[in-house]
Amino acid sequence: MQMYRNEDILETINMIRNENLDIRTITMGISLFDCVSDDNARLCDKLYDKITRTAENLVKTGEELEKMYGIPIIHKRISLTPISLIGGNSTPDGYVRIAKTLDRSAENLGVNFIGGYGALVQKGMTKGASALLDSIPKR
Amino acid sequence: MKAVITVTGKDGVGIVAKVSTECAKYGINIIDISQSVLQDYFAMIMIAEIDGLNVGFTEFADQMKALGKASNLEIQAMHEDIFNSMHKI
Repeated sequence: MQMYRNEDILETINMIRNENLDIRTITMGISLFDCVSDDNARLCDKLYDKITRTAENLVKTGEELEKMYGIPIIHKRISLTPISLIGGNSTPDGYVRIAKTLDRSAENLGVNFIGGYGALVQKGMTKGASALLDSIPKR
Repeated sequence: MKAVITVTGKDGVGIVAKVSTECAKYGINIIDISQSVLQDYFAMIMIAEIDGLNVGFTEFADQMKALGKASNLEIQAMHEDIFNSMHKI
């Protein structure tokens, strides 16, 4: 039987209660490649469905873990495939619609962050990546 | 699976009884109890077997917390794994 030293137990509890020990974040990674579509509205629908379906229980599971182990989890977040790879031939306005879709899904799921609205440009920009960058100042 | 239940607060009559009665209600087998009283301050650590738990662990943890609140104590039930991760290599 594995036993614990009382000092160890009290030390851990002291860290959590008084020294703000916590789990900073749990992150769910979601691949969006299967959502690709040449029609922007259809793409947005597929993105919304896939994200909300996949991460349906993320916040709930996080909260269960917090209770089970008695340690707070500060952020529950989602990390996505870089959107410039998914948006492909979208216009900047199309990307804005995608961004709003991502916001809406994050809000409905209750997650703290949704990451992935970005482009990989370190080896040069594609048309899609450039359109995504152009969408950033728009609303 | 084991849980570690810690009870801290001001010393009083019947703390062990209250907590162990609640444990029995949820089908929990207490393996080990150690307690210390430092001046007026009471700290008890229970190691308990939770395989026979008749509700979900989170509900049990909530109930223990509520019991603590009602008795002016701080009661926390935690899965043992957090202590394994923190203190064992």
